[in-house]
Amino acid sequence: MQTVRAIIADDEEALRSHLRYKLASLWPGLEIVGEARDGEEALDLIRRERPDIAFLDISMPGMSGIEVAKAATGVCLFVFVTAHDEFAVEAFEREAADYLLKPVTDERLADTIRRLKGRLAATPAPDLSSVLERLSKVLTKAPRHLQWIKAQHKDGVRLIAVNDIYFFRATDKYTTVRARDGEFLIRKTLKELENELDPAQFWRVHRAAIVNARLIQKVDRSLAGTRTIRFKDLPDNLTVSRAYSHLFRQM
Amino acid sequence: MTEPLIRREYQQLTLKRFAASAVLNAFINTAIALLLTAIHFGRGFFSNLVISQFIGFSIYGANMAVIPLYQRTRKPAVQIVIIIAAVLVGAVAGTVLGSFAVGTGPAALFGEQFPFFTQVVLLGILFGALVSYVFVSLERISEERLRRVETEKAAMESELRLLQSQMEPHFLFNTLANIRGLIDSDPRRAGGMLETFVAFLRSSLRASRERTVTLAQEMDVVRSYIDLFAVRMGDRLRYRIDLPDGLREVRIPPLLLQPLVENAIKHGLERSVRGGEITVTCLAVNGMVRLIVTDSGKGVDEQGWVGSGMGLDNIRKRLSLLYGTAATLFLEENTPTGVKVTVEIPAESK
Repeated sequence: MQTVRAIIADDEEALRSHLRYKLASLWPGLEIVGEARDGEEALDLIRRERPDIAFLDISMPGMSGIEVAKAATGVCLFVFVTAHDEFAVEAFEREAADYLLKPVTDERLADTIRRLKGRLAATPAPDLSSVLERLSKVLTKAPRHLQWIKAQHKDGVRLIAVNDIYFFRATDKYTTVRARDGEFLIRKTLKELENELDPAQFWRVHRAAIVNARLIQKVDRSLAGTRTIRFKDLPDNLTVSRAYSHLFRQM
Repeated sequence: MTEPLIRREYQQLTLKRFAASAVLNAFINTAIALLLTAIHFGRGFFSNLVISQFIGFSIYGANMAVIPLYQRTRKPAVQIVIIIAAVLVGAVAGTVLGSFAVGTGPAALFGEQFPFFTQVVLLGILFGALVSYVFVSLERISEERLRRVETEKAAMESELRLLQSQMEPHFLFNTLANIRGLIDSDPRRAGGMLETFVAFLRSSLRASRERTVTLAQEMDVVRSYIDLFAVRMGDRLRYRIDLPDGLREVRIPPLLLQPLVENAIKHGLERSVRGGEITVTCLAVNGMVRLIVTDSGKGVDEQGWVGSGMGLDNIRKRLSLLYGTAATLFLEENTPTGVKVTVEIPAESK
């Protein structure tokens, strides 16, 4: 009988050796041809060794297990290993790509081995792309918008979470950032900021100002029709120019 | 499932309150009759008592009848108008009914005795308005108490969430998986890791129950937390904790540093292939305690993790509740790589 070849990828040494140990006792015919400590190593290993099976930890430094599987689709069968079902892996059919929860139990591993043997006998390999697509959607919840502002301050670089910023104001060559911890100057222009910030949260209210809508306490309207934005715990306020006053008409 | 139970409880409560308020009402009516008899108003105590009870209960009934109307609006002016109307209707109806009961006919009431009738109605309105006002105010107070209880509940819930967030499942299961793995390959290390885990659980549980902890206690939490990761991450994680002896007994809010260290590992080191070093430094500066957590990890990606979502908001909120503007928390880029978080709070020691 031809031996089945597999690789194990996990950034934690104890977990790799545990899985190797378990596999050795439950599937003597399986040969572990290599181990990887991060995503890139795993991908290199898969491309070099072309194993039949890859056991991939989902959260690894560098590339995630899902990303590795995406890049190596069709090369081998994949089994995802994860500590917690935060990736909603249970929602996915185990037919296409199996998964194991840490700590791995004998019973579950034996079940997975049975499935793997069945799948290795069958040809062709199942189509993974739709499962991977869904998995990576769950994984990449990362926001696309600007989340941090880096501002030179004294002899360091301050990191300011955009959620802590009341407003940005254009001043001469720079942009003033009014945050909870004070005022900072940055080089980014309002135009650049407008493009990078989440438009649902940051509104242009003036030719020279962008405001964080979440931190607005109230908007006053004078008899002349000028709207003024006020913030909680902040003496500063902002004037809304006529061109943008439609944003507050319903308020 | 719990909803009907709560509703029954509510009904019992209102029924009890209803009975109590009816008895109270009868007492007040009797007191008014006594008072009026004492100042020689009306036609003797018995007649005064009967009319007073009729007026009192009519106003009471009218008030009860308008409660649904009253509850539908939130405007105080409208509520006052509703109550005044109920008192008016109740006073007139009570006087008419009462005069029947004491044997005065309606003809006499609107004929020769009309001045007396108006006096009684006016008195009814006066006392009715007074008593209604007191009742409504009492209701307000109990509502206020309810709101206070709810605020306290919210504070407790956030505390619980704090504890839970720190014991996030990924961390819990990963730690257990490691211990499980080591049991076979390296039982001695498994034992050591289990002991560290117990130490972490004990110290963080204790800390979560206290209002303040000493810096030394907080460092125990931090050290055991990092130790658990050190087993898992191997040589990818190095750390240094610098706590001068003079600051060991300084008191700080519990679990202040642990979330910062958690961020440093999760966002700085764990995702980095090379790993790195974490330092925790405590300094005394002009009557303030300065706590600095640095990591040499990947640093902040401008589009990366959401800064306010990761426990920083929670810490900021707690600091401002406890110290107002006296405490600060800010993030900087660490040199050459990574993030440096600085917290400054007024030094407090017990």
